[in-house]
Amino acid sequence: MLKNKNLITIFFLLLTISSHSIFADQYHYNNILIGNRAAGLAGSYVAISDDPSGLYYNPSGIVYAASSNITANMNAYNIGRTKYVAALKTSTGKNVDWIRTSSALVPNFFGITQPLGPGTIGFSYAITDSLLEEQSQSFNNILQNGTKYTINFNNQDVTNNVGPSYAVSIGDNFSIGLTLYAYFRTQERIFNQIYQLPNDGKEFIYNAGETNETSIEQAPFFIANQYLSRSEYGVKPIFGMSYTPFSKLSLGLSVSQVFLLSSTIKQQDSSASNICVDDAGVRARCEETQPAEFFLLNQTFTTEPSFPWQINVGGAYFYSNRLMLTANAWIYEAVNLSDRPLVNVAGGLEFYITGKFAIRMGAYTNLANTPKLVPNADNIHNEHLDIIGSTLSFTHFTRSSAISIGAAGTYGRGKAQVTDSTNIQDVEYMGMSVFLSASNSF
Amino acid sequence: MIKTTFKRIFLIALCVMLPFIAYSEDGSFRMRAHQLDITSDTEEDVDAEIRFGKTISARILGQFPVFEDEKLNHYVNLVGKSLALNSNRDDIEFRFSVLDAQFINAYSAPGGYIFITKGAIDAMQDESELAAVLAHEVAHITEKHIVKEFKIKGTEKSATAGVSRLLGSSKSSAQALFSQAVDNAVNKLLDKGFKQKDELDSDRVALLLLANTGYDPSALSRYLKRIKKSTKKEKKPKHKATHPPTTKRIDTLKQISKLENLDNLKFPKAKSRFEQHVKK
Repeated sequence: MLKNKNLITIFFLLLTISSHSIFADQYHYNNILIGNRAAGLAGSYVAISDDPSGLYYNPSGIVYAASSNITANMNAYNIGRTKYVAALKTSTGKNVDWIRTSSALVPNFFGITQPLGPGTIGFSYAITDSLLEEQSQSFNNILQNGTKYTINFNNQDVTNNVGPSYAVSIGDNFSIGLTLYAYFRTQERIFNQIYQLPNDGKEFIYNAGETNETSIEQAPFFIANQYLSRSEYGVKPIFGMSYTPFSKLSLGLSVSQVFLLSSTIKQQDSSASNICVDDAGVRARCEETQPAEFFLLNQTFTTEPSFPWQINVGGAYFYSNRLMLTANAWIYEAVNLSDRPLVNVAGGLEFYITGKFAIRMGAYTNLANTPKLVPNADNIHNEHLDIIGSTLSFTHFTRSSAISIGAAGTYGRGKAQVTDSTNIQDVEYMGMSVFLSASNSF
Repeated sequence: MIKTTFKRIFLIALCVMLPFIAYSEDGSFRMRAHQLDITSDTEEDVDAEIRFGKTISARILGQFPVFEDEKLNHYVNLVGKSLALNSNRDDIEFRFSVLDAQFINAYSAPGGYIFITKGAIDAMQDESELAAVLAHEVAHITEKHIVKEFKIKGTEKSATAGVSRLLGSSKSSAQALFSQAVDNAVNKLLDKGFKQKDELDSDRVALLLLANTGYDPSALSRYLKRIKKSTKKEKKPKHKATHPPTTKRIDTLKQISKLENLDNLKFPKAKSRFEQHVKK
């Protein structure tokens, strides 16, 4: 018999809530920078948008492309590390961190533009969010001496946007454009947890009464597995406007929202344990004659998540043909998770060292769309992690092509609840993206 | 409440930008330093121009066969090549063909491919007029009107461009865009015609080319006046919709002739030589 029956109950709770508290980065809107020039400028691109990545930021800007026909492609390698400080506590009172890493090589943008009729037509494919998250950790002496707690976690979550755009000039200093993206998101998450307690010497009889009846000594354990598969389909129109109030200054504005057409989640939860529940609901070691408890739940359900209206507004000042400054703000309508609109900002600078080399740099915010955490025994809150990032890129130009290599570093701090509803943990995040992109004009 | 605030932000931003629509800006401030560095054509650009022009010429010849008169074609080539010698394009070879069509027109494709209809030649009275029409077409090529409009450029052979193409998946895109540009250029030549600005530009260059080659510079005006009279009663060709009115062309030629001091030049019209080669 276990010394502390409640311990088992507590840990069951831990297993359950921890599987829900951390997964895809749906708590931020600005997770991936898109585009060659735009990424170097920290995404502060709504007032420029004069290359294929403009199809994503502000489709009206593509009418100002210097060449008629352009293609662009970008590949990014993202790595990230999230540390939940003192998420678990050992029996000796020592705090243990919970660490998740993410890494993914993402070919995250392809776009092409060319003149058609009175305007410019374009087609683009953008991965606006991609997460390949992993956790493989073992912890000793959690809650009780001699225990071993093992986590294996894998989460892939990718949001794709693909579709056409068209933009026209209205007068010399004003243009409008529309991108109509097909939106689809796929997520696949596997979360395995094993909790092993010290061996109590108890033997279990297998194949009782059969010729191959055996008796095996078995330590108490819990095994829990969760598999989740999510599919979302929708459309995401982006309407943009660009205008030039006076020479050297360009202003841009775009408005977008995802309209969801279908959202399905398939979830399978299973667990097995040789800790049983008696008639009084008390967890105790199974008797020799009792089989191990097994639980399996398969369910498919539809969800109706709300997506915010998003306004992207900014300006770019073209000081000279060598120096350009840009600033941007994204304003997101409050939906579901938060009770107030969210604003992210970015700023960027472009400087040509020579006619063939340019350096770009910028900084941006990626704030959490969740409310700040407060201890509340009734609810487990979503994590609140505010992230800031900076970018630096170098571009080499030839007459009809450009290659950029750059990097974005991100850092964030916040709060989370990964184990129970009363304890709040500090969260630290560090990430790095290295991107390589190219564009060609014809 | 929040939704109302959100909508308000959008409407305010929209209202702020509307008054600026009337302001006119050519957008040149958007040019970046690497775009200003592009100056002269490379060998690859000229190859691309020739390849583009050859494809367009094949399309034109698919619609109008060459007039089966070797001597006439040879004669037109001699006149045309003498003009080409005085042009600024020694990097391409000019080729001239007479098309078996009775309407009055002439075409030029990038890379030096020039076509004139038998009907246009029949409306001429001397060699200087033939030279004038050919010079106008040569000018479209020397001034690269089609090349500039469709931004025809060669494929770069630099390592950077190679890597860029590899990353940008641009090979198939470039091929598709090339085909589309050919379609658009053929449509422009046979249907829409050149921009008015380009036509007047070609008239100006043609006038100087005629004088430099030793032909009567007034030949183009004379020819335009004659075809204006003869086509008055005919249905207006479709492409003329974008062409400048003939009267405007004649007036502009008069101004240029005066400005360049070409009025008093007594250069030959070569009427008898023309009559020897052209059977009407």
